[in-house]
Amino acid sequence: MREFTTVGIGGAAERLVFPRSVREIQEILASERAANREVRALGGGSNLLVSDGGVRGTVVCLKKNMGKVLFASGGTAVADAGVMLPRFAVLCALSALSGAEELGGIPGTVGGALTMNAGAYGRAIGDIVEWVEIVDPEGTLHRVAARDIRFSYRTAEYPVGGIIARAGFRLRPGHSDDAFSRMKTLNERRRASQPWGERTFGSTFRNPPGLERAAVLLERVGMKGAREGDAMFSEKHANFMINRGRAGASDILRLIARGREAVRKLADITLATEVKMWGSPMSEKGRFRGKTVGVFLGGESSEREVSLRTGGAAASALRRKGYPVVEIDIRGDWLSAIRKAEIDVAFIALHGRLGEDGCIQGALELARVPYTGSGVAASAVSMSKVLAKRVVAAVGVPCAPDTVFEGEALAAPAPPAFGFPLVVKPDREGSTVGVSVVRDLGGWAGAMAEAGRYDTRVLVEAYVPGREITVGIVNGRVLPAIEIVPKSASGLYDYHSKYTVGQTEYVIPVPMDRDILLRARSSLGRRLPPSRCAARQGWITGSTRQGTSSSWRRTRSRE
Amino acid sequence: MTETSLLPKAARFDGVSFEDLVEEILDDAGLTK
Repeated sequence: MREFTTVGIGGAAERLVFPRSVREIQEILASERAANREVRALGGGSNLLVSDGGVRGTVVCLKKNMGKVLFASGGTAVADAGVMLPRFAVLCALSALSGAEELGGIPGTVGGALTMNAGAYGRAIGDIVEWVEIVDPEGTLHRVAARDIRFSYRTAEYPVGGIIARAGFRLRPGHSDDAFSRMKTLNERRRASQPWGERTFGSTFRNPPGLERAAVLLERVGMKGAREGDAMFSEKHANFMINRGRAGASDILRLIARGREAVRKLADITLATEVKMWGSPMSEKGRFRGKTVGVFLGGESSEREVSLRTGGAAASALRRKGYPVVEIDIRGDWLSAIRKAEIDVAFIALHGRLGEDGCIQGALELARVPYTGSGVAASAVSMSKVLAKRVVAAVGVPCAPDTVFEGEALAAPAPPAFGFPLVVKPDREGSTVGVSVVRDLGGWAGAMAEAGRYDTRVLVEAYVPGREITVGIVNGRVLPAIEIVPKSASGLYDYHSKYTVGQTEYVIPVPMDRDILLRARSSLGRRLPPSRCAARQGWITGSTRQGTSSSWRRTRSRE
Repeated sequence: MTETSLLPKAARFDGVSFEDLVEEILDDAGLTK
């Protein structure tokens, strides 16, 4: 793949195909889906780092043969996904159309730019696109209007997944000379501030929203000219990484880790990468390749349906990666099913009791079968809201006042002294099952009875109004925060809001005062005990969109 | 956890696809955690 990436790094692709039309893209995706093979779209390769070990599955290269641009009257243009942006900008200028000049210096394709809403000098491709045609994984073509795409800084969320094949643009009538003059000015600025003619994938990190630019932060921590092997942060622009000759993906990743850690120590900011990575380069890649993976799903908890979806998605993803996968429903005689399948490793996709509470983890420890996720103790503590809350409170995370009801106290419960409104939760359930927000005494008994249906222990907490933030952790790596904005009338992120498309807005990056967000990430991402994989959620309270003060109420964690 | 769940959303923002995220979780499988 090194010949297909601008940084000149990457092992071999299992399959590389070069479609010549939208129809051929449809045929390729349909056949690869039928063969259950993973498919990736490759544009200009300018924002891409491919693992030294290469990538499995099929890479669809659009740049070679998907390069048509058509202009129609009224300032509209239709461009294939493989059209390089500099060429697109020049053709627009030749047609006396304005609006694409700022994109003329980006060494990527139309499709790649639309995937991440690429842009420069205050203009992003999402500003001028009218519609996008996408081939979904089944091979069906969809035309999506721009108003249905959520564009934000270097991100684009589409209602349909798949490969971008073609797009329509709305441009302004202008003058060729003016457009070329603007492009020349911008290219001169670019050449003055960025490495030119070097092997690079462009910006390494995204600019953190509302804060200093990544290049400034990296320069402040002395990263200009820093090297790992032949990988080097440019001496001209600290956010550009250069391959000086024989750099591998591992060199690049070591240097990314160094830069990120230095900035974190300086400013308590975890920079998110702008470059995409193919081939699991962040971990000990593919160490279970060729082994049989048992995906544990279903089970007997109240979250069975959710688990079936999780397990199905994980199994499909692993199959697309080439793993032999056996799906095992953990109910009935599941022990016999495990023995019969002769699995080498267990991917736990169970939700709720017996799956997330340390039970299945303990069984696998006894059977000496390696498993994903957290261990027995962390799972057991995390599944109990009461226990988990005591742990996070012990490490200094502010929590809402609460009362625990169990045994006789649950038979005729009196409302706690902290009063209404309050939140009633069964102790050991997930997916918001059995959870109620109670505004006054009228709803108290019903809410307690509902929670009592699911557990013999019920946690009642003072209601804390605020904004809900989640911080994901994978193998100890803290991911960017996401704000959860449910559309339900109650404002509760309930089962329906979680699992019904369109019922919740997810905001990333989170528009929030920097100090508050840092405290949130610090609270949820670092101050809790070490864990493998977790979704930690909390409320930021007493805050407006600008934020004034914060405190955390841990609602759920699975570390 | 499906492709539209919170963890994959955050990982995608960090440049990691759903398939790579699932493999990364698998790579960390083990015992005595």
